[in-house]
Amino acid sequence: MSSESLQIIKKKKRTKRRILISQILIVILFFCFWEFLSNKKIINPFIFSSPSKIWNTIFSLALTGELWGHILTTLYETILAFGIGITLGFIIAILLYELPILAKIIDPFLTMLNSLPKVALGPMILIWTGANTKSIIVMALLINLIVSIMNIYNGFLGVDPMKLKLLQSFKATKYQILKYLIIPESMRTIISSLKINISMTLIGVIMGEFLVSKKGIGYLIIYGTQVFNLTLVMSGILILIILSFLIYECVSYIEKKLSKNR
Amino acid sequence: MNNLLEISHISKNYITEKEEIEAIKDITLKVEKGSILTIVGSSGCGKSSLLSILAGIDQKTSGTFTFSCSNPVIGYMLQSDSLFPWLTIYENAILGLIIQKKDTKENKEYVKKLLSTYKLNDFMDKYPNELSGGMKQRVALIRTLALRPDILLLDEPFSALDYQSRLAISDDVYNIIKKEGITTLIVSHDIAEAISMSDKVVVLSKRPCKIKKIYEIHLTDKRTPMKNRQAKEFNDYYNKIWKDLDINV
Ligand SMILES: Nc1ncnc2c1ncn2[C@@H]1O[C@H](COP(=O)(O)OP(=O)(O)O)[C@@H](O)[C@H]1O
Ligand SMILES: [Mg+2]
Repeated sequence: MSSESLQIIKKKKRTKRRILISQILIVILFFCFWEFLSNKKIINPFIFSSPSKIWNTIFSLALTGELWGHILTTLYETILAFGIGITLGFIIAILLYELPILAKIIDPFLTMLNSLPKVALGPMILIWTGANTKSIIVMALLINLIVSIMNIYNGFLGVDPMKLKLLQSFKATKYQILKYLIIPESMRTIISSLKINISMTLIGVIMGEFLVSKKGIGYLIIYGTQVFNLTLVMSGILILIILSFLIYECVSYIEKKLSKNR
Repeated sequence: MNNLLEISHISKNYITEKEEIEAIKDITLKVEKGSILTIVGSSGCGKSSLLSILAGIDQKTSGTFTFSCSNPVIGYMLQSDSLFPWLTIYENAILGLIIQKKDTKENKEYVKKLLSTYKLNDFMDKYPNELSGGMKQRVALIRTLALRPDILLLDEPFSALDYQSRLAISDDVYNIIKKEGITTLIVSHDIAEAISMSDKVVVLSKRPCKIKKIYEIHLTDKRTPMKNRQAKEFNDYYNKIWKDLDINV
């Protein structure tokens, strides 16, 4: 490699590092400023809490072990709803693809359901399934399933008609067409919809926890509101931010791995 | 005459929600065994439709077509190479064999032999995006040949390529077809290509396509398509066919 290209690479690396440093600085400054305002009572510390209080709360929650229970509960519900959503979405998308009449019939209903704010159904689900994990999963499925059906189904429809014709000229069966063409070709779309899907699922799970749960980060937040402990609420939100960021990064990593093998 | 394929009075109408499109009108044609026949017609006149019908993918509206052999194997090569980007060249080449459950050791060996004969053996484990357009076209042809077809149907096999590659690949394809001795029906809108490759050229009218004229191509000193372009009769055929097509513009 020439010294000029090395220079350019070095420059690019330096820019990258600068961006990262700025990002970290912003976070630190934000928390310092917040702490300062709260400490000097410029903002009401009871309503706006402060980073040190939040930190103490999280720390003591972690010490008593309560914190891990909440995180694991939310994580478990999210992964479960995500897995079920993808699997069901895949199966239903195949059905719709193989039965175009069915797809046409339910199309307006899917659109309607998709545009409905699902949280409106929450109280009803609570009554139907009882106040337990089941209703949280159902809530999350309501939110992620339609999106995943539509994404996968559209991936199927986007398959190159020429390739389809080719397989037909080989007299391929429906199953072979699915196996050798439809599924592998739409894999890319499906994989890239995983990220949206996990975010949707997390929204659903937190919404569900708001409504029913006795555990989980959503519960932590709603409990904090009920007892007017805003430090607890903000601790919950902070944990949620970190958790959702980590989950998102995990899915991104999986997505990268999967699309590399293609 | 030993005809492999006889098409008689085939018509095809597409019915959409709005209208009925008459694509093919009463085509009658014989394809002699071992020959190369090219159908030329302006684009949109119904050439691809005709091949689709012969390949058994589409339904004809009326008419019949018969093959002289029973259970003919039809090799259909589409307008685009349609290689699967997630499969290697070798896996692409044996796709038809796998679908038809004919992936015996012998047939796979045959594909490997074809790949190496046509200068692709170094690319067997590569993926389609690493190949040039002409190479991809050769892979698509080998994928079709792997089934040992009785007849080849080629739909504008070179239309996606640039002029230089076209000339080269039409020589390659011609040599492959002739060497394997396969009866071939090509559709094209390229007059020069048609004359240089075929024993017979059928000119179609605009849509709905009817047969306008049939030319037996006799070139002195018939060789490969590229050299055939230099034959002294070439221009004569070219002008005639060009006029046939032009009248209908
Ligand atoms: N599935 C279809 N439905 C309706 N019309 C079609 C369909 N396929 C082709 N056509 C029409 O039939 C005519 C011939 O098409 P095609 O056979 O692809 O022409 P060519 O291959 O000669 O360019 C075109 O006008 C096209 O619009
Ligand atoms: Mg066409």
